[in-house]
Amino acid sequence: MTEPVKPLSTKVRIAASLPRRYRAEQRFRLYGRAAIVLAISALALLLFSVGAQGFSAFSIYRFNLPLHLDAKLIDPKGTEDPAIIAKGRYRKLIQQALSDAFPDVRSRKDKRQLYALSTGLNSVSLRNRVVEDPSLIGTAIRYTAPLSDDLDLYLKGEITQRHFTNEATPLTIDQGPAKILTLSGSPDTFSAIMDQLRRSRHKAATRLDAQAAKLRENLQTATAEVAKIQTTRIEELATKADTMRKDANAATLTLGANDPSILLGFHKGFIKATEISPHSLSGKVLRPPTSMQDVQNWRVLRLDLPERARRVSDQQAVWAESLLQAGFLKRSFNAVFFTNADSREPELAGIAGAMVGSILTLLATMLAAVPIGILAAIYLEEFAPKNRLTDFIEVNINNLAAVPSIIFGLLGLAVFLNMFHMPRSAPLVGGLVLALMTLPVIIIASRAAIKAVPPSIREAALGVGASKTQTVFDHVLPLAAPGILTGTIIGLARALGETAPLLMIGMVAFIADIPKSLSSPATAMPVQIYLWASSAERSWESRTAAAIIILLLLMIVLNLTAVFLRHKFERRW
Amino acid sequence: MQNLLPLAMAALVVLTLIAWFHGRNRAVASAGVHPSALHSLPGYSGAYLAIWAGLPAFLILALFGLFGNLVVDQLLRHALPQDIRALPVEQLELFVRNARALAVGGTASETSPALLDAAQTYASLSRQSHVGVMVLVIALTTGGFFFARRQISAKFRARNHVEAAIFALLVACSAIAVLTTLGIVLSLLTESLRFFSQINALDFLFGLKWSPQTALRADQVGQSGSFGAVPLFAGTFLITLIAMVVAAPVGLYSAIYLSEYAKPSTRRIVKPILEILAGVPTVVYGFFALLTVGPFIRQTAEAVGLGAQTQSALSAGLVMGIMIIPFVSSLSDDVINAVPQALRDGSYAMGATQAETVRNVVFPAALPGIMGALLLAVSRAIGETMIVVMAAGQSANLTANPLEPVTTVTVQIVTLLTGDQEFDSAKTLSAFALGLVLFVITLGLNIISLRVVRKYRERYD
Repeated sequence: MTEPVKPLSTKVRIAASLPRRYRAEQRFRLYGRAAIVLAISALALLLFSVGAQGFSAFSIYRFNLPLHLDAKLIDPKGTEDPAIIAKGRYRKLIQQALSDAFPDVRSRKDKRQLYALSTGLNSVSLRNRVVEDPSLIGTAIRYTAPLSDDLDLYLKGEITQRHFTNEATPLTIDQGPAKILTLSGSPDTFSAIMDQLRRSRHKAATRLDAQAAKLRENLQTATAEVAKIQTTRIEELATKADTMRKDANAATLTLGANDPSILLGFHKGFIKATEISPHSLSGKVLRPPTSMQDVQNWRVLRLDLPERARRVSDQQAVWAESLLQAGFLKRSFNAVFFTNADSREPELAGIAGAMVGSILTLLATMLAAVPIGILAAIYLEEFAPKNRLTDFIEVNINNLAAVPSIIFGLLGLAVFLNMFHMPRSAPLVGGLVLALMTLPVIIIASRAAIKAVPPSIREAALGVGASKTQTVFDHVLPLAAPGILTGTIIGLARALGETAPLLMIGMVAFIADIPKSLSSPATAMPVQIYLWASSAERSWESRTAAAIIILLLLMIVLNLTAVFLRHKFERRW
Repeated sequence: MQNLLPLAMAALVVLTLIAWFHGRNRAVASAGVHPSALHSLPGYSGAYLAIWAGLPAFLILALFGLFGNLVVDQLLRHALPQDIRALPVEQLELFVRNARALAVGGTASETSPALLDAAQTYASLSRQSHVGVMVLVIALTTGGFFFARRQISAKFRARNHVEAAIFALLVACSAIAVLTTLGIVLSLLTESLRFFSQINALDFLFGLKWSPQTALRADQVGQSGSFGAVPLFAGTFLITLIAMVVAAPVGLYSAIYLSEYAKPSTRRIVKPILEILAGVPTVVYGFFALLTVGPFIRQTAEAVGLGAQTQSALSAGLVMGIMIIPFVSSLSDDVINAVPQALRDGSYAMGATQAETVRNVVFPAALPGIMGALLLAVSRAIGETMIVVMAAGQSANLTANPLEPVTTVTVQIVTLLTGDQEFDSAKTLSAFALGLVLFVITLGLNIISLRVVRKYRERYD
């Protein structure tokens, strides 16, 4: 702009501007491409994150233990009365089986921890098995049940990574004071472990430094009172970090509550390291070794998350590892997930109840919405005179298609539940609410399909003497059927994924049975997903994602059917 | 008594079928040796007879199924002793519910001699009403059957009558769509009016404090309940804004690229993929926002030294934006495609590049339609429930900071109406008032946008 503007011919001026304009063109194209890539990668990220989280829920660790069905605990008087057998102490039997697997566990506290390996609800399945076949009483059986969800997560490595290292350097065992063993070997046997520990302590110290630095930053803006508290806090953090560093560099490391757990396995036993020097390691016995002879092969299990920060104790981890090594624990397909209804215990929770609920709800939706939708479309397209009223109906339907789904839930609550006193939580009511929601979709799709049938068909039918009704029902409707069907399936697929209206009519309750009829309390798959997603425990996450995978698969099947029908029967006139 | 109804329905279906066959045979017989003498096909006579025999009884049964319990409840209320009828509404309601439960063999939350008496009354009333309805149904069926049977003859215009009935059915079905709207408006209005009789409408619309916990007893202090909905409107607006900031550019640019630049083969693949985004259930987006996007935003914010929570307006808005991308893109795509090719050709002939043509010719020409599409997307975002319920939080913050949790109109409706509800309390009713606001706003947006889109289409057709 600073140089004087020279009069240029238009041609030259345009030629000069061309590079800039072409660059703009390229940029514009790039924006378009970027937008599409962004949208598609968002979809990919969504599917990937759900898939990655849900994958692990399709398998589960189940224990398989010998269990003695002690008659004393089930039917002490030998009455063989089913009512008495049903009241047997099955929970105790399962606990007995676990105790038998770990006879060294004595103290009450330890026993309670051990029994937590199997949820109390497992006794129900054992009871059912015995009630069905009372001849089992007094015999020994193999008892299979899902492992508690926390340990399942632990074994899947989702609580903290299980770092195993196998070693083959000889060690000697020295019996220390009560429950303490010391293992000694050549110098440097344990150096690698110590290095790991030191690194993790240094890392923790750095984290403390960062915290202190952040507080210091806030100091300027804080009031005098707050600043005082924060200054002491900063000093605390600094001393803590210092001690940590000093401890990390000591020749002998003493493990504390903030350190990773180091578990040493040998001779089928496990000890938890409490003190490590390069040539020796002492630790608390978590599972006694079978012999005290010199060790040749041993392994180290390192759990980086400190014990107090996780729901699985080192003791429980050791039991699970021992069971796994002895072959009493197996990872297998999580069939329970597909056969059970909801449960308070994640390992016993399944999607079957919600799936049946969804099917019943969809059935009610289909029975109500499909005939009404198609008939309404026929009226509007074939019979309705063009006047104010039909215009109003048309605008109405278009608007109804865009009303938020939750409003339909409010309608259902006010009309079906509060006015008609229909049962709460019932698939029938849910189905009707979803039917009202799907109706506009079906009407719009059916009208388009009917409109696509050429007038010549109608004229030919009328020409040979058919009445208007006969023309529509015998000639137009069959030709429009594929289009109607496609639109209907798409509408139903959308109803299958709908959650909000179902929350309003109480289909959000905890329901532990598979619903049996249209009026029994039920929940639906998307609602189940919502319920599980709002649960705090970690193991629900993978189950939620697994339920989503199943729901998405169902929807994909429905949509593919629609696409297939469209391709197979589509006719261009 | 309860399972008598399906049985009666089944019997009615069988009777109707019998009537159909009988009517058909009778028509054939009346024509004698000259079937061509029949005015209508014999099937129509059958259908005529079946309609007369089955339809009135069917309607009575359906009405009884829907309202039977209500009628019996009402009768019971009148038959109750004076002291119980004087109970407050809630307790009376509970009493009736318990009596009903006892009468049908269910479990009641309490029992008392008065309740057992009431249960017996209920059972006998219920029995009487069932018997009455059955008698009525039998009378209607036989009456209809014999009335229609007499009319059937060779000359009888059965087809015309049946077609009139079909026509009535068609009209009734189309009326259901209107009835739905009417039902929505009426139910929202009546409940909202009850709410506004307790709470001033202006306080509701312009109040700045939302805490719907009301006192359960009159002497309780502290929980007065305040229903100022402005924080909810602000939260809804904030999340919608974030969603549109994501969805509008991404959706528009993809629509422009797909309709102006992409090869047909690319378009065939990309369009369905974008539409998958619209088909994913919203609860799945909620899960994604809660467990993937929320934690990511929190960590990122903490890394740059900002305080943030897993539930935030930003995570809900971002994910909602992703959800409405396909709405914006497919609607805009339609609109852009509707711009006549002549406009583009004219622009190219003047020497404009493709981007210049899109920006200066196609886009302005399509602008009204695009605005309609955006408005529709906004209405979608405002009414969206699951994503915000799961990812935006429950606390009614009046804030413009997208990293803080906010709450929206739909979240509050869900929170207020799930779980235990108090009968007739302002807390429960306020959900309907919120629903009314939501309905009015989305309806307004829809009407405007549909009108704009339609008008625009007409201009170029």
